[in-house]
Amino acid sequence: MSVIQITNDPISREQGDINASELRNRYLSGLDAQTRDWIEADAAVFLHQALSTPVMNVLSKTEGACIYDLRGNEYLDLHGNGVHNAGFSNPEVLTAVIQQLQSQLAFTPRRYTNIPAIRLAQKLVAITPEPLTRVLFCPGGSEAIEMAVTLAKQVTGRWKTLSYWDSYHGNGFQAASIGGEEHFTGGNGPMVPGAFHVEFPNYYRNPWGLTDTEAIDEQYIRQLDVILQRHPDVAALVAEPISATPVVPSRYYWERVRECCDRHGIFLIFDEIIEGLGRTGRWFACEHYVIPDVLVLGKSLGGGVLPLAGIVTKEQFNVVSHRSIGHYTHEKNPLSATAGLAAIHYLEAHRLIENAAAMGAYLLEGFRDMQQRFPVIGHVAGKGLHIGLDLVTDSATKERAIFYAEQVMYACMENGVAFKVIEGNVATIRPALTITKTQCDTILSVFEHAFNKIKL
Amino acid sequence: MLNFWSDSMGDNKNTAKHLVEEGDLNVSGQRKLWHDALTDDATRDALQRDADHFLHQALSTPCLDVLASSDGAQLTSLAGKTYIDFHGNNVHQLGYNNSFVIDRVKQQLDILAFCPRRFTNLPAIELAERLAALTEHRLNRVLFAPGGTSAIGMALKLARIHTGKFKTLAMYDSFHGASMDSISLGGEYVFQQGLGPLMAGSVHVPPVDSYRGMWFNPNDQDGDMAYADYLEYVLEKEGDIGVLVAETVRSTTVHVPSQAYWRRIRELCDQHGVLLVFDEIPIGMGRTGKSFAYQHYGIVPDMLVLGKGLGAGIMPMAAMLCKDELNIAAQVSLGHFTHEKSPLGAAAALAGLDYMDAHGVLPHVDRMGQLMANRLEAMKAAYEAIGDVRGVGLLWGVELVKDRETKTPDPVLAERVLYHCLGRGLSFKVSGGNVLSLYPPLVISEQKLHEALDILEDAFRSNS
Repeated sequence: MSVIQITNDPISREQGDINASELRNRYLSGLDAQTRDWIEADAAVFLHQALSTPVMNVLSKTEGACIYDLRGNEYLDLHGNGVHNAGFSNPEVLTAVIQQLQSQLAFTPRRYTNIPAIRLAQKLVAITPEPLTRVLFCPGGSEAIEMAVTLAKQVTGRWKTLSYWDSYHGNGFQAASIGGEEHFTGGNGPMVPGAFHVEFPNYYRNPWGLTDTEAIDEQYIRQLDVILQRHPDVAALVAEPISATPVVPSRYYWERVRECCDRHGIFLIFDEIIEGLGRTGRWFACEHYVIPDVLVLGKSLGGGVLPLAGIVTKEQFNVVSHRSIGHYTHEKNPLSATAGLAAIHYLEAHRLIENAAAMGAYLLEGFRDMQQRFPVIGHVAGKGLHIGLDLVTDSATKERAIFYAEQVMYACMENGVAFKVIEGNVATIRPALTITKTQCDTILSVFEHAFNKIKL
Repeated sequence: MLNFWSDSMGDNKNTAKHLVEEGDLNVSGQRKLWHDALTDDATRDALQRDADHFLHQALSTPCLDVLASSDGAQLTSLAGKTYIDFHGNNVHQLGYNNSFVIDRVKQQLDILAFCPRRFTNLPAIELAERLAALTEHRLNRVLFAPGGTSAIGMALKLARIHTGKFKTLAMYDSFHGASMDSISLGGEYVFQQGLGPLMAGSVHVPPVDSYRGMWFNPNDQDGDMAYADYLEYVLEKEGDIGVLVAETVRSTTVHVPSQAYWRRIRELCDQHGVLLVFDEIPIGMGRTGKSFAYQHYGIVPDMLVLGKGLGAGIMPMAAMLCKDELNIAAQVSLGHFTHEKSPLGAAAALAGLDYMDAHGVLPHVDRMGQLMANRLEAMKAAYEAIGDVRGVGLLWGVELVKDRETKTPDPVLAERVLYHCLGRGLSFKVSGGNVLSLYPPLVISEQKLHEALDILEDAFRSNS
């Protein structure tokens, strides 16, 4: 294979496993000739990117919780870029989309409305916490984050933002400025001004050696206070309620942040692009905590088929009728709305939010049990089907087991389980919410097999 | 009486003045009359629900009407009224409900609808290869995104990484998207207002305006060269501009620069180490009679951004194409968008390209464009209010004035003409307050085009 050049530039692993590693090359060399030809063709025409092209494999189909490569090999996908809450190629979503295509309304210009878009907006208003009543759509989550922040700027008359190191909220310049990863800002020169960052709570790796949750929370809250004393004129605080790795903050932490936002007149914006629509065992992750001023949705909102994202905000913020904070071509795309609505109906009818809570608890228990046998599993955290395993070389020093994590990833891949590694050593487990107990057992046994086989 | 009308515009006169630059507003008196005249209960009910649940926006909610279906050049409302659509947010290049495209999308749904970004799939590869081929392989590296705004952001990042320079140069009045980066880059105050500091180093120059431009020389065939001279001056004074982003042909108010202008600018970019990026989101994919508008000018940009019509009227889909030598960002993620390699979006786009080839869409655009030019010129000869007619292919702007000598814009007439046409079944957008923006689907039949232009002519007749 010639598509991968091992680069000498350090590539950040904070967002995901990278495509330029030695192990990736070894994985690729084990693939069949036809697949390798397509990977070559892909690499010849697409702009190379650290987390996409050159790619790992070529897909031929997806179904339920699984993806299939060209050879027909099946993988339980614990990543899916987060679009697969209702399962991949959900038959009810596909049927609804096809019906919508047949009803001759695949697109409406923005000056017109259509019934699928209205229905989806009504449904979102119904399933989100009560004060959230106003909807605005766009094609991608990065753009939805920008709409939320723009709304906050317009309403507050301020322009500064507060957000978290290591977070990812999208890759437009504003979204990347709010995000806290070097990977998306390095080399870009000046970003959007006024983006302040603090640390997200981390109970496992807190730098003070504290063990009491509330004491740890106080330290993180103090970071917010330090900035807000000097910059009280912040427009919005943007965060995922549960971080990507995930760290599951205490309810106390978010209550304190909510108070802080109220005190300073700051918009609290929750990015639930990944966590919304059932992943954490509730419709929205904010239901575990506090109600934000703006809830941002994306990914699975398009039913795993179409690009669709949006914001849901409070009635009192419907005050930008003289502006265009969205102004995206597909603002009221009836096809995307149909897909989203069908996915939500499917999640509801098949009680998949309850399933996410139950299967999530089952997997967490399984991994915690595994942790007893494999000290390389430093920490297991999660909520619903949003789970992470922090792999360490030493349970005392908690040193990140980066090479080990990558070996585990490829070993699991070979045994039909695909997942993503973030921050270099955290295996993230986010299957479709359709997952069955049998499939959970498969996940557990494939991981167990990898932990048995691979030695530190 | 629909009750979503508010006086929110009252204290925002300044905003309104700038807002009309992008399009006709939903808060005007004419719009209110339009709504009051809607009698169908189901329509009024749906509009009310729409206005109750969506965040209000000057150019969308509250909406004009509720659509039930669409076909070819036509939209059909819930009440059964039809509109020939000369707007379509520019995704309607191949007509609405194009059955050739829809069949292919339906087939793809049964095969592979989505592909996580770490994997690839055959339709995405084929589309990338096909687009590269349409540029004669001059722009042979591709990156996809779900929307044009995001694709512009990718181009800006790539330019910064490649040149090591962060300053951007773009045109006043241009629109490149609605995120902070594309708003900073673009030149419309209405989108920038109230957002606090924008992106550093966003420099702007005046766009070519062949009708009322301060530097335009109407006595010269290449009367827009003073704009290129000023651009050169700015490149020299700023010293470290990394990228020039421009619409090859301005879409909304329709300004078509001369060949000499773009050729000179291509030279200037090369001399100053500036990357030239053409935003063809609204006008690529055949609108001007060629696959890409830059192909009229005998130059090649360093990057080309596509969107809207790329998804063939069905899928949100955008792309950034660039020269192979710009494939230098493998260590980062310029895009990183969930639907980076959407097999469904790619299937729609490929079907669109196949349809264009099979049905000779580009030659059809040439013929229909000529027809449109002739009829609009004839209207200009007949109606004093038409100050200027400009266009290429099926992209036309008709500028309405109170007086041909003073060229005073006539926004009131423009809005009257708009609502007259809407009432009789022709939909288009008004840009810059007084320019009728006319973009029929590229597949419109001669008969339908005449029908639409008859409605337009009737509007001039009734209002003159």
